Amino acid sequence: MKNVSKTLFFIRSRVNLNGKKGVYFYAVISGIFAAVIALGFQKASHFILSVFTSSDGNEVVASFSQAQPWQRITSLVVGGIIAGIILLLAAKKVKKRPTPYMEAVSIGNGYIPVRANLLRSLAAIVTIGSGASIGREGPLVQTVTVFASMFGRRTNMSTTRLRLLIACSAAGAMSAVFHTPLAGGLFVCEIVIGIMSIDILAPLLVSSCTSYLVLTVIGNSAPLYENSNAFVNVDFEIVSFTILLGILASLMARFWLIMLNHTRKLLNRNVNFLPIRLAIAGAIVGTISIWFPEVTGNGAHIIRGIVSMNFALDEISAILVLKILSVALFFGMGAVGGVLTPSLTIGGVFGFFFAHMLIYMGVPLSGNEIIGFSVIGMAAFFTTAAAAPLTSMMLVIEFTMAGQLIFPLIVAVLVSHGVSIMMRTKSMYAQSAEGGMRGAFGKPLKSVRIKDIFRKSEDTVSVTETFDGVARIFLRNPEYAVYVVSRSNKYIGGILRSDILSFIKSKTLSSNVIAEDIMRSDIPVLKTDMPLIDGVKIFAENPRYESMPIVNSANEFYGIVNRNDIFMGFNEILKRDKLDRE
Amino acid sequence: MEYNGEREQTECLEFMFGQIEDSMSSENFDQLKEAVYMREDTASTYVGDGLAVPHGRVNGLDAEYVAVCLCKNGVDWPSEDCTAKMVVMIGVDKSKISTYLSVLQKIIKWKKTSGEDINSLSCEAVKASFEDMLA
Repeated sequence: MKNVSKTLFFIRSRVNLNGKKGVYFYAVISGIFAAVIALGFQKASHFILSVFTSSDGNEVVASFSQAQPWQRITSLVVGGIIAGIILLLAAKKVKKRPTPYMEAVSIGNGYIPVRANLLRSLAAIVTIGSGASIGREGPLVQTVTVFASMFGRRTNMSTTRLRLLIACSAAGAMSAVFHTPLAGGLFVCEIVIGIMSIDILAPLLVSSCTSYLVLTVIGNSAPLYENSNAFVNVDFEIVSFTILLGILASLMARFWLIMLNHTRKLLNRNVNFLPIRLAIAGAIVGTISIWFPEVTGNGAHIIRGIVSMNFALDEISAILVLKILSVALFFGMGAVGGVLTPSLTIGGVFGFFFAHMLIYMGVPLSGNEIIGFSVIGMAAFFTTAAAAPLTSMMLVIEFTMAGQLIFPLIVAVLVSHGVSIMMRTKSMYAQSAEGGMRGAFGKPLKSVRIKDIFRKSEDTVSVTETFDGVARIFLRNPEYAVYVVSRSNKYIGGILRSDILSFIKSKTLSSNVIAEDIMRSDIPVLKTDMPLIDGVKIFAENPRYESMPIVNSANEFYGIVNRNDIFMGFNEILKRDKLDRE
Repeated sequence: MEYNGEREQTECLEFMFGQIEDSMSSENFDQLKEAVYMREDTASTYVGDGLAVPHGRVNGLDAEYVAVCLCKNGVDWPSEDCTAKMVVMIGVDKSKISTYLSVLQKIIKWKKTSGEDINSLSCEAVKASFEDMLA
């Protein structure tokens, strides 16, 4: 890390990395790191799988298929206990909450606590390595972003730049996991940030493409479910069926999301019982895996089976039901893992069923058309599950390389998206990404309040904080103001960087000046329930302030709003509001 | 100015306020007095080496005010552990944070580099040094 910092310092002294072009430099760096860390994460989980199942550990279902029945159960039970103990340790011993990367980008300041998150990553590696029915992409992306956050803070990046670096590393990680350079960037842009702008998308794509390139060199970047022969005949009848598939997949996804929420509420209650809960989930799924090893892993094996027509209808019916139960069980019991691949799997199987239903009704479909409908079902299902139509489309195109599916895909995805909007379906990422601007985009301008676009700020101090303490915060995060609060978190005032900049390294003042001496009480203060438009006016009238504090009705410090966010958010909401009115 | 009264912090401050009262408007004076006492309540302004720098930031102050007081008998600031022999009171406008920091930095540096015993300093010498330093 020291060498990296030195090299960066050398480059920074010669190139203006804080400028607009510097973003691309960091995007390339984050792409390289993302690919390497992602590969390391995969190797670690493969190693654990090989130990648990006495196999090569490269593929979960294959490893479970060749393992002894007792090994299947033991692997999942022991993996659950170990992962549960690690999570318990993280919950009890580490004070800081493991901030999800989506939150760090959408409402946070780019700070992702290292210890808590790395412990969760370790638990995820054990869970995934033991064969649990859960995706690896979520914890893998989280792990990559932890390192990105650490790197950004060590190199004193501004908050805006740090958040973009984390977003870039997430895009790079997605690209490395799914071998999808375009969908990797789109995923972060559409789901996490919520704005499709070339200024934001370009660095994300630079990162995801770099990651893809690195993966090509040091690993394998072949499409995950390649079947370029998959197609759907485009005629009026088939398009009607595609529309129907879009509607049904959206409803199915809604049911899936409700089920996930309910199982989590029902089963994931007391943190103390995590090892026992995960062991129970492991025992149940381990027992099922004796007859149906396909229920283990993230579901990639099932998708591969569908796109290569390896499954018969009756076989996959049982697998679908058991897979849904297994994923919901692990997810509900509190396992650390993603539900992206499991969601794609369920969507794919749903499309497969739909194609067979059409055949049953007398519609003649070839094998490649069945695959085509399966892939369309996957995209339509994921569109509602993740509230991400563009990402869904590009994901399945890059998965299969079946470009001829683009037209029916657009139809199904748009229909699914329309149904999800009409039914107000909350995506599986809603909780992590809803705070901040992302959540405000769906509201009409007049109902958006300042609290809808706030960002959390940990940069608060007491009135007696020394000058040294304040200076350290500014050195770490030089962009915004530091706010002064009372013990009961009441807002008192703010300290501007411009006021103390020339003294920031002064040893003379370090302990002789306190926050109260350098605090301003004339910084405009925004109220949580103030309409967004009033906040915009206040920012426009006060051009010297890059951020402003938000307080609630009891004058308690709530967070901050920064200039970029408020104007970008206002612009985006205004555009969408105008479209709605037209 | 020179203070030869009790070792009480409040008495010393009142003495200094009495000396500067006529140099500013009564409104500013009242505000400064309140600000200085409030600041002392929050945390002591004793900076070490016999130097205390009570200060207050006041809205609408037309200039920077620096008053220096030599206390050869020492003043408990506020306890015996911190005996102030030189008290420099600063009054600045609330918005002029950089000016306040600059003045404070110069005073502390001057005290550290001069190395002279406060007891040996005369009011005239201190006044000349401060005029030179803050010019």
